Amino acid sequence: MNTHPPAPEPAVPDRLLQIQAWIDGELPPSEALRVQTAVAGDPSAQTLAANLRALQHHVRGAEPILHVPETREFYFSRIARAIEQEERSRERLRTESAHRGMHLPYWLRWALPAAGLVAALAFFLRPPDNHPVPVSTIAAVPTMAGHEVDAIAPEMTTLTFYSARDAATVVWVSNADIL
Amino acid sequence: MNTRVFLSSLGAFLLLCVASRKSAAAEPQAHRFAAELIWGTNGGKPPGQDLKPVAPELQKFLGRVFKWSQYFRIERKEFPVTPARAAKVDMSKECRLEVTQLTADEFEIELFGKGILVVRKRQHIAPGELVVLGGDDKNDNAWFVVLTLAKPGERK
Repeated sequence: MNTHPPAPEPAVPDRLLQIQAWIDGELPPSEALRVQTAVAGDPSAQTLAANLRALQHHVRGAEPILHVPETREFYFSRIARAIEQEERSRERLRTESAHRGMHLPYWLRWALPAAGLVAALAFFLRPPDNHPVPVSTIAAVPTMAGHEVDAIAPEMTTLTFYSARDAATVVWVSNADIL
Repeated sequence: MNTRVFLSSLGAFLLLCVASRKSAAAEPQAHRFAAELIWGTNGGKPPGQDLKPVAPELQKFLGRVFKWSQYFRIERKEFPVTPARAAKVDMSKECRLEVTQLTADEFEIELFGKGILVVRKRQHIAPGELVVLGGDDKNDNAWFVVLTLAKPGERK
């Protein structure tokens, strides 16, 4: 004798959910195949599946399409996000190019210091220049750097000036007799 | 090219540079000078003397710098100067010029008049540059010694 009433069959809601998930395409392939097989062999399940499909069709067809107005903040936030994204792209490009510059080819790691060394040698070992500063570039004012005059006799005096324009040095000696 | 080969080549190149530098520095370089003894006056060419006017460029320069309007050449001489050999040039019976090379482009110029050292000057001289020594003479005239270092390859 049964003292307890039979428990309600829990398979019905589970079955309903399984069929609903199958109709909605939410089941993995193996589970979907299993439910499809079970539905094919059960007329009540087929009826249920047909009702669910009809309901899905009606819901999709009758679902209103709502257009949410774009607010001003949302519009400008999209622009701000685009600008930020552009800046990030540029920064990434700069970082990548700098990173590439750090990794020189092996031969260039030797060639660059060698070229610098050769240039330094060419500078320091160049032929002696008799006139390192072109006369035409010297200032027009009298330039007496490197000039040294000795007036020998006490009664003689000298006056010296340099003309950059004429590239000429003039030494005037007073009280000297050479003729 | 491995590192050893590269360093060997670089070392050989450096030695070649130093050797060529030393060999070039060892060659004595002669500087060609030209000296002119000039007489400046406002009174015209003196009679009885075979004097020629100086070159127009020099006439222009001297006329712009000094007060005399006419410049006549008494003597002109060309001579070489090397570091090993100073030049001693008699410009006239009483005037003598000595030029000594001190460094690559520095020279000492000594001018003697009647056996007395009139002026000694040391300076760097560039090719084509003029060094003019001058002084007053009797009767408000003037004498000049114009020294020019010839440019490389220049022939007069």
